[in-house]
Amino acid sequence: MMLNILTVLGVTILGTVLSCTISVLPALHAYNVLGALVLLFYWLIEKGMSIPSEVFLPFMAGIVVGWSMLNTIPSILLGAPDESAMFTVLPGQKYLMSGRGYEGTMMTGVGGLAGVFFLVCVVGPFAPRVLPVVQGVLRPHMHWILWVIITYILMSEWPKGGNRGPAGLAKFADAWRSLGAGLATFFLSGLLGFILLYRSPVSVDMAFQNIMPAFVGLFAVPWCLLNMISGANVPPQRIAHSLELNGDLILRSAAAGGLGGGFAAFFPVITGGIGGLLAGHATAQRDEKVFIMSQGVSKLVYYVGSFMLLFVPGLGLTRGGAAWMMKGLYVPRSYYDYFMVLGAIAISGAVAFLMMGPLTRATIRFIEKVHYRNASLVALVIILAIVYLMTGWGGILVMIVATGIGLIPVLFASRRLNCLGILLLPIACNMSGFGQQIAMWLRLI
Amino acid sequence: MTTNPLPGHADQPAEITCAQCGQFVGALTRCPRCGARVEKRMSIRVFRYAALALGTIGLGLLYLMATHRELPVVRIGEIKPTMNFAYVRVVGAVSGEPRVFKEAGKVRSLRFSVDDGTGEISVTAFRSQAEALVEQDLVPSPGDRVTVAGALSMTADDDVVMRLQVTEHLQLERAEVPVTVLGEVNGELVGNSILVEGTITAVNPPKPESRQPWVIELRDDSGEGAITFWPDLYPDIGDKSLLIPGAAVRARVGVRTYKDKLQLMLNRGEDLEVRADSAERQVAGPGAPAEEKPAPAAAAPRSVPTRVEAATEIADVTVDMKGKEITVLGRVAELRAPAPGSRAPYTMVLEDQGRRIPVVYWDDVATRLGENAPSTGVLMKVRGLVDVYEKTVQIKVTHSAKVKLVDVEPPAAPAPAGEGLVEIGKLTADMKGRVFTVRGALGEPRSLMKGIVYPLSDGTGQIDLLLWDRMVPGPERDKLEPGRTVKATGAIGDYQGQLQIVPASAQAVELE
Amino acid sequence: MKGISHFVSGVMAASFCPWAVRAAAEGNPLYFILGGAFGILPDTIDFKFYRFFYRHDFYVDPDPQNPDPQAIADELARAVDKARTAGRAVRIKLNTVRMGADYWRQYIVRFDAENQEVQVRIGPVVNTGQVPVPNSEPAERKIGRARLAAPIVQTYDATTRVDIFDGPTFALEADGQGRVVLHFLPWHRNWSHSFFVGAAWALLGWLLWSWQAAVVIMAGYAAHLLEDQLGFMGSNLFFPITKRRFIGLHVMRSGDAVPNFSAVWLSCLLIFWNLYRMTPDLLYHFNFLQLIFFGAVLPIGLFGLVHWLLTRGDKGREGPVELEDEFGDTMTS
Repeated sequence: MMLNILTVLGVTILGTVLSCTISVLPALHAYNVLGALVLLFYWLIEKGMSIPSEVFLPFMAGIVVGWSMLNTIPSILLGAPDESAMFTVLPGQKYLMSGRGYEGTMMTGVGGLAGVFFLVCVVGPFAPRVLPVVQGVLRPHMHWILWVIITYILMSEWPKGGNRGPAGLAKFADAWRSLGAGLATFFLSGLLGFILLYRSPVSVDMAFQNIMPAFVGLFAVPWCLLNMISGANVPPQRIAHSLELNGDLILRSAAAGGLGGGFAAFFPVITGGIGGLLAGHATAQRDEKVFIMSQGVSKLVYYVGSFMLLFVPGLGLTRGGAAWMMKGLYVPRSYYDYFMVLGAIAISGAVAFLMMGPLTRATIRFIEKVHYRNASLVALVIILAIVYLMTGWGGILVMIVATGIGLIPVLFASRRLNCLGILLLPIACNMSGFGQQIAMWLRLI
Repeated sequence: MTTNPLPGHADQPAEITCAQCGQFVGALTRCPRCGARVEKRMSIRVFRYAALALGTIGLGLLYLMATHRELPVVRIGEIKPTMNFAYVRVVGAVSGEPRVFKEAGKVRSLRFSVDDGTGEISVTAFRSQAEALVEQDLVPSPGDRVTVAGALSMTADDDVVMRLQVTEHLQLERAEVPVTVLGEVNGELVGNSILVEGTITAVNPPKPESRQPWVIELRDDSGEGAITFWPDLYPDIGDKSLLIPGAAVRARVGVRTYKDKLQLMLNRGEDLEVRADSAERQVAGPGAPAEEKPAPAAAAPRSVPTRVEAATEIADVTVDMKGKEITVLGRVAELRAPAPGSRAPYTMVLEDQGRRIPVVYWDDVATRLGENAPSTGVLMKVRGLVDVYEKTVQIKVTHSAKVKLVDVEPPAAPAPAGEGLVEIGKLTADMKGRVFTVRGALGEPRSLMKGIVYPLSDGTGQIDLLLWDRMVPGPERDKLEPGRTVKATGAIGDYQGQLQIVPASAQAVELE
Repeated sequence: MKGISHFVSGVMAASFCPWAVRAAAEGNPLYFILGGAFGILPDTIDFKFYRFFYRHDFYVDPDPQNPDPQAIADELARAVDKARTAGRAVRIKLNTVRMGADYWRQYIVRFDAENQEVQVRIGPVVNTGQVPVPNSEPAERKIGRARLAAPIVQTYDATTRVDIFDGPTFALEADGQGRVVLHFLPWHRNWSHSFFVGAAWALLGWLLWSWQAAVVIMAGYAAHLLEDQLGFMGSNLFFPITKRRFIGLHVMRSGDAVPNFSAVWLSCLLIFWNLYRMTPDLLYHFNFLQLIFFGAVLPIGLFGLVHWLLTRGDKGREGPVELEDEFGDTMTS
């Protein structure tokens, strides 16, 4: 038993350290790394090797936790928003442009740590009792909840233009340019989702990564490209000694982020971004620090929570890419697995947070020496290589098209969340039972 | 007005403000305040419209490519875990018995297996697709050739399932099946689909509310056999009223073994065909032309009529028929005896196809019924006068000879006892082979080639409830669904470190 | 209230309709979508359609480099003067001053009814979260003042802070007694926030789908109007019979966190309860009080306890609220 505990501890730390190192590389998603790891495990199993669950469960938990916590570093520090190209600036980017990138990153890290506490201390003990009840009631109703969320996302976007000038159609058209771009993004990505679901150009041998090149195209490549054409420079960064946070701010962030991330983790197809949007609106938070920290909480609770749900005894929910990949390797069965994963999450959260400060400082030193445009170029090459190696030319093709769609909201001032139409639309249609009908109309099947 | 530039603005390009009025313009190319044109770097403008073009044109091309791409055909034996979610096609023959799962009379899902020579895969259709396949008579039978396309889904237990998304993706080529005489049905045919013909010697319906199947006993010149089918198929049988001893039938059935006995399993109601000519002769009554081959006598000891009178469906009995003497056939749904000293009649409520009718008779009939005395659930044939009492149509029987017990129910197998109820968390691998009872909530099922596994948890732990097809047949499992509580009795097993409980019969699984 | 509160309230209203739950259980999401969509629709009409076609007589457009409070005050006074004699409502729009992707120059307008004047002060640069950028206050704290040609009647807050997104509009209307009535955001919560308009939508829903759809539409729409009536501005509830907005109950402000979150959470619990009670053969059973206890009392109580434990020593840290700057909603309802 002692050996098991030590093994779990060791591989958790190993997974977390590996993940933290990977997280600093821009535009690389944990699921890309997990996908590669799963391939490795399949290969080992095929070769007759038996890998005990005490090895790969905590290892994967470490990867997910470490990445969820630390991927904030490149997303805040690597890339200065060019206001002549982009309409909106995210709070993290504002910190960067004020020379407070370290603070912004560490605040998100504090949010992530609060998220680990939320999962282990609040969700962990109650989940086996509460979630099966909630799931029992909501199971037949998931499809319409998804439709209602789609409706809200589409109806709640604020028109960015039309604030000046005489009343009339010109003003209306100016206002609706961003809204129209948002709707176009949603439906174009939805159509892409239908194509990938029924006739993906990705080889069937790698079908488990069908959606990966599309996500890379929708989110990662536009980020690299915009960095590369950005005319803005990163100002010198200060290393702050205090984050000026108090219990109230942390608690409010944990509540808002936990609610959003938890919602996203529990409901199918809903991502952390959507959960964060809904929770942000519902809790009406305006404080910038609360916003930044709650993003950290929400992201961690979403990624790690959805992975954790797979292990909740009596629930058997598979949510999120990590859980789906894990399910192909191992089906969790008992409280033994549950407690092991909870333990791994807690340990990994602590290790990741401890690594956050040094890695943030290292990244700041790095961007002082290497321009973020060059770093973005390297990142782009890396993700192109990953997409090609895993999904071939079919995947590259999907990625290019998705990049076009992913750039629309950034350049036309609408929400990037609209890109999630790629999952929301086809899956909501399928869950309501008419997805196949639409696929037939589209002549995809 | 601000002496210092705003945070971050020192590092921004100059084109973020209007050169004319100083208004912040950001990404706009025309100043919203004074209307002056703002020069931007080429890259920004190009990117904006290139993105839109790339997104729409690229998607259009991808769409065209997708619609012109043939679905890849894969060999079942070559399916790998990395093919999870792939939309592919397989070509092969249907193996095993397809199963239609129903809930509250509605088709919930359909499952069958396809073997292409390299391996076997389970194909599942849900809800509307399953319903459409049943309606369009596209439920395959063992031996049929199929080309089927769908999305692959697999889990760590090596369970590979193909989900059929549209009915059009199932192309079915019915296998030509020669007639096999009953005397030639033997163990070598197990797993095959055959066509049998014969004359019904007995019809054994299940007791109401029981989990027993229907059993139709047959005989032909070469020997005897019994066709078994689950009650949910009964409504799909063509002319059920002709399903009576003496009628000639033809059926496509699967051969399987049950408790070491060969069984002819009917998979679809439509696969049982009652030969109308023979049945008509049976029901034509006195004066009808004699049969060329007289129907064989009913097998003893059942009191099965050898000649059948024309029966009126219970649903067809109306007030207008008052005073007319008719014969009805139905199962006893309810029996009411009069209170001692009362002059009220005995009431036997017969039910057929969901419609009920009371049959009334008095002491003089009741005391003379003898071996034809009814009990709840048995099939009765009654001849009597149509009457109306307190606006209710009933049948009044005046002679005991007009009440016939057509069929009784075979006794249900006793539920196994085992070592009693235990908490799942207390079960260990050391208990392997011992029989226990556990109670818990069902989780999401996983399909196996010859059965299904439900995770069963009771808060103290989780165990796999393993239901083999041969032990707990499909229709029994129709009622099981994730979230429901069941009590299951069975032997404890251990598969790759995971504890299992394996009920030996349908009676060992109780839905609570 | 905020959009999400109205939206979830509309979904909650739909969940009380048994046909909506039944249809949803069979795969038809229509009624819940209608509930949510029509719950938020009154504001969608105002903010995404009507306001772009609403004509103004005056525009206040401060110079971003050198905003002049006196010029703004003069323009407002000029509009009041015109309203006194125009014989119709005069509309004036106060444009925001955008300074960056996330920066806005704030200015504060105060109608002083007692002294019959309008006062304008240029404030700091704020970010979109309305947090001031340090050291961005004007060096000179100049206040622009202009005498108004007529006494004014306030129907909303005396002080208006103009900063982020779209600026506010005032409709100035002579009341026949020599005074000018000030209507804040006259295009908002007007005809779109009427029960009769809701009924018209419901009628359309009936024609398109069924009477059940009509009931859901009306319920979602009415929930929005009733919730808005809890605030300050009120709504023109019976347009076209009535022409003016009914004054709100002043229970809450539309952007307040607590009432908004309470509305969303309570709606979610009620939706859950309705789904539970209308779903047959569930494995788990609980009653309404248990739901409220475990779904609301316990988590909120725990939050309150932890909040108290964490903030015991923080009393007095927050700065005093500048009452004159208390700001109502411009566009966040």
